Amino acid sequence: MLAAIWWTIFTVCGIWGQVLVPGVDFFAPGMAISLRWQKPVVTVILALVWVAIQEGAGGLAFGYGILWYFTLFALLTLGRWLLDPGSFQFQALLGLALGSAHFLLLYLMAVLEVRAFPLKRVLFECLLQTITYPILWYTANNLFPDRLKRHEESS
Amino acid sequence: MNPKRVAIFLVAGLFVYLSLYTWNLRSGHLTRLSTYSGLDSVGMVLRPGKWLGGRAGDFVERYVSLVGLKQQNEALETEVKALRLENMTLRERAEATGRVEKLLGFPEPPEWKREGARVIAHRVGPTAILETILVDRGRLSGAVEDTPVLSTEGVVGRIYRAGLSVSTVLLLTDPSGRIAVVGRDNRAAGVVYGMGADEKLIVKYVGFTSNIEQGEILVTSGMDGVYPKGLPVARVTRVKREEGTLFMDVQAEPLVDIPRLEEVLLLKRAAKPEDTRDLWE
Repeated sequence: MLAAIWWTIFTVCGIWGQVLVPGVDFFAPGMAISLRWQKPVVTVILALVWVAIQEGAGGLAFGYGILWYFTLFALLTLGRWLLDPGSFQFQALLGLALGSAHFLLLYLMAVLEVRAFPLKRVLFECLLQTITYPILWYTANNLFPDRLKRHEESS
Repeated sequence: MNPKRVAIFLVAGLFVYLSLYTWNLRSGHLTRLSTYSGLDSVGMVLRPGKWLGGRAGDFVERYVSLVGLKQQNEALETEVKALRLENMTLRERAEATGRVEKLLGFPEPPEWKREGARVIAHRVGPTAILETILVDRGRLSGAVEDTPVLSTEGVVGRIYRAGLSVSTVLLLTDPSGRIAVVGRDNRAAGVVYGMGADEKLIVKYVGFTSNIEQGEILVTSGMDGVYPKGLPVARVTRVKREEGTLFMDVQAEPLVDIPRLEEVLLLKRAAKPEDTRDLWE
């Protein structure tokens, strides 16, 4: 129950964040936290909800969200083998990778849909994504209830 | 993990993804599903906040901005008088035009219904590369794709995606935005192309021999089948004639101040586009 309330508040805050800072994914740090502390099924449900939100509110045809969250999942899984997923340095590095991935994926989708690509704006948003990701992860990770962490660790 | 299994998983995943992507491009089922679920849930989250923000804004305007209200009232009264006079003259002319059209056997143009909508957000999320706004009207209130969206200043754009209670509006400044226009005074025809946020609009296909002036207002010609005729769109800011070309180089600026948009009007057809052909026969 607590997990459901926490993730609902996180998603609502994420939506408002995305309205205030367009072009940046505020849910991405949630996936890192969920993968670390929650059961895989929770991460899958959250990813489905976030994909629906990103695709529904965004301007491109369906497809970017799946690639984006799969990339994040792959980077997190690979990174966990090599580095400590709880370290800020790892998350900052991940933010850099996400910034680049955001550019590449958006460019790919824009080309596939034959859309104009606002290069300067997208580059700025990639930079924002790179900077905001570790900060949001740090904030959300510290706010994530210990009770949920302990429960997941013990199970 | 076995590298071979990972490679097979990735290739299979890519195949499934590409199949889904192409199937969705043709059918649009997944886009519709995400619009009804994602877009509407975003609207559900944003509406209460926007309502509270609006209330707070009203409070500030009502109680803090009382300074200068008397002067503003006097100025508005003068403006109302001038507009009433203009309205009287225009009504006479409109009625006279109606009578002439009837005499000449012109068919009645399709009717449009107006409905107000509130802007609840501008671009949302990482995939928002299009110039869009979100409004709090959707299919439940009769808004569908390609519904024209206006403000009191002029054309804002058209509905790009309609959810159940929220819609995404593609702005006229988006590079994929096209509006067929004519000059209000000189009737030179062209097509307005968006060039992105904070960029001037380009008016293409204005014939070299056409007459168009700087400062002239461009209105919809109705030729694109999306917007009704006569809605103000943009003001011409530059006209350049170059030898050896068929068309003029024309730039314009939108009449609408998009970043400050708070309310818009949706223009809904009383009859469906295919039905309107009957009206014109």
